Amino acid sequence: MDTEPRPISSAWPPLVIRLITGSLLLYSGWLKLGDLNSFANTLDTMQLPVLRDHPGLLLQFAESLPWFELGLGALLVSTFAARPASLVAGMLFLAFTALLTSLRLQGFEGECGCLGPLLSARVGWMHVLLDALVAGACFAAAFGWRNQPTMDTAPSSAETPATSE
Amino acid sequence: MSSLAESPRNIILGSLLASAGLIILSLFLPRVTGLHAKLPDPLKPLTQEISYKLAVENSLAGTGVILDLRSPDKRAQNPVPGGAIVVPEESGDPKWDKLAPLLESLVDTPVYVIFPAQGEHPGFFKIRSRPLDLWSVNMSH
Repeated sequence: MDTEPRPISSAWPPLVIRLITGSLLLYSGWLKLGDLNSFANTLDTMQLPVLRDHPGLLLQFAESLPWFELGLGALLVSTFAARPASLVAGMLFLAFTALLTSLRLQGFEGECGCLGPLLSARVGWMHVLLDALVAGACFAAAFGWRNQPTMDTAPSSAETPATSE
Repeated sequence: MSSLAESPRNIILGSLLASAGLIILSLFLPRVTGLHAKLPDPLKPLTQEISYKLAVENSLAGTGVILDLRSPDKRAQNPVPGGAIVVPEESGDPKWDKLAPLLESLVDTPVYVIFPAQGEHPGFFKIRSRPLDLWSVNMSH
């Protein structure tokens, strides 16, 4: 068994990204669950394609997204299936980025609903930029670093590179 | 985890599995926990009802307006005396912008809604989001 320690520079950035993103998703999901009606109303004002004409689907989406965020946040924080969870988080934030960009280009003036009732800020380019940054960081955490510390990589199990770096 | 497990292909496959699991979980948990969302009061189904005859009388007297959500064929077969408001079926239709001032002016006026005989009018969802005094028109009276 190889006990060579990993270089800190390659091991910790993805872990920090996962912890921050996971905490953000846990917090966001928890806040939304605390006021689902407000979140549903925010989605309604966005007049999203498909959802705007189907109230049942809109409500289902409003009820489900917070649980999705909580589950994904838990995966990221626990570092279980760390890289796949980072990729899912990257896709989620990429979807948020695309959605907010579309809303901004349409001149949408409503609230973003990102953090439920806590953050009642109107959608702005800063939100778009932040979501894009988080998406990029998550993709980097999924693919960018080798030798990431996870629950299923015990501290003593150093990498035996089978693929080229 | 070995490098094999960290290959891009496995990461993508793992993410698909994780997504599927999370989607199932997120669809299932609202039912288990009983945490449900509901839309604001103006979006609740209409509880106020009025007969067609009385709605037309009020409309002609200027004390209310009729919103006709029936299909164009039905509207042509049985037009509302004195006229009625007709709205687009698509929420993204630019005609909504032209209708906005009219709808805003109706805040204190009873709006009598004639629903389609079958199905829903997609535009009604948009109407319900406004703080209007909506009444359902009973066509059988």
